[in-house]
Amino acid sequence: MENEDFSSLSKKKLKTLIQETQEVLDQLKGELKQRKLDKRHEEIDHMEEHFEDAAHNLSNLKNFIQKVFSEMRKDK
Amino acid sequence: MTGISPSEQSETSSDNLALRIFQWLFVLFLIYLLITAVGMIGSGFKGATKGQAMDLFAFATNPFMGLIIGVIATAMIQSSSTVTSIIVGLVAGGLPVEMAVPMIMGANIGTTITNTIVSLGHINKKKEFRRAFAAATVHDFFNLMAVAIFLPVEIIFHPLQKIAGILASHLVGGENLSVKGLNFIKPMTKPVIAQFKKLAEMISEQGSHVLLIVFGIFIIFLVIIFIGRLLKKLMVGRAKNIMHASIGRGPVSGIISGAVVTVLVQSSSTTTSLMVPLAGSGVFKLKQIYPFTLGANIGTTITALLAATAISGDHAVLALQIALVHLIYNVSAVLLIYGVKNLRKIPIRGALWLARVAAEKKIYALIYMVGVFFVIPGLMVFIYQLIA
Repeated sequence: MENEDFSSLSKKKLKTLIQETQEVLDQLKGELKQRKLDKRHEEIDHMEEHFEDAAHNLSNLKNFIQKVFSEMRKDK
Repeated sequence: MTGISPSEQSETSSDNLALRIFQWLFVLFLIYLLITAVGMIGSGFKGATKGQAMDLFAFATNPFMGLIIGVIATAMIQSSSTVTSIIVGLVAGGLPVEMAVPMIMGANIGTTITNTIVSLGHINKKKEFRRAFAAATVHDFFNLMAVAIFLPVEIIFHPLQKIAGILASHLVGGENLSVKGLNFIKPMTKPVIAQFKKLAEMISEQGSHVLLIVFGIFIIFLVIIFIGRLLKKLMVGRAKNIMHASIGRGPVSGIISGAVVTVLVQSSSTTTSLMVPLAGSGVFKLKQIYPFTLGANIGTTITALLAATAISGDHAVLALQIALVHLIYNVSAVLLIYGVKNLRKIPIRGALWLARVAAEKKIYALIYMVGVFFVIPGLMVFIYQLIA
């Protein structure tokens, strides 16, 4: 695209190309946004699992402390 | 095909309906117990201090001490609802509202430890942990900032106490406008409180008031655990719908849905903990999680308001006043800190920085947690006692 020569194109053609590109760009942005939103909706559909995960506080803490100590040992 | 017949299907659905009805009735019973327990604490505290609550809590006349009590108590039992309900009961029993305000603010800080611990579950994946830890600690930074701004102002001018006082006396009625006669809670809770009083007297005549407080605290603790578990099951569908509806609708919608979901599950730590895996997976950005977390701060105030309905008589206004302080404080903090662009960014920046550091060296996460929730408050208690 970088080296493409647009000098031969008419002003009208250039405007049309810009408009078309802009439309494609908007569509692509819209698609990307929609995919992100869909992914968020999917995550929320797993709310029960997230509730479950959040309940395992103490085991999280235990694993974390073990990890901290092993990291400290490695650093030594 | 498993081939479930229509009659089997209708039997299962009627079983489910019966179970749901039973669960809802149990929720109502638990709310009744919560209200009764708050009444027990109020009555026990009143009897134990014989109107001299100020002397008993003399060590908390320093607002800073009150704040520390709130932080440590909430961090230890991981439930701000329990602590704020107990505070309402204590105010009803004679603890001055002025002393209770910093405790309420401390409960706000203490409750943030729960989602921070939840974020530790992502420790095995560095990027995931960084995102999860930031989502958890943005709540900490916000609540620490809120205290740093509002506590000094409250100590000097008492705006929260004054506004809540005016509202409470309008809602409950002052001495001349008492709605004591119309209060239907007291006749419902009085017989149970009387039974517990008798039980406490049977165990120890001298220490019966203190025992009544202990019973009250124990019941609140259990009620909050069970009600949380039940409401999670009963409300998960509704909570999902609310969150689905708020996606892609901006921060105000996030704050509102955070508040509503918290009211539904009666626990801010449940709501904020729920955000942690959503952020950890990378699907939700910290910017999107942040308003939802703030909504949880507002939604959690419903428990203290509910607890305040337990109190009738002269102290009803004070009990409602402290519950309203909790609500007004959290709403004002959101309006001020989130409303002002430059202030809004500080908790995000703080959380991102801390998460980056903690993801590199896990020891920093440990130092942060132990330091903020236990060592610094403990040291301050120690220093205060040395000076006093």
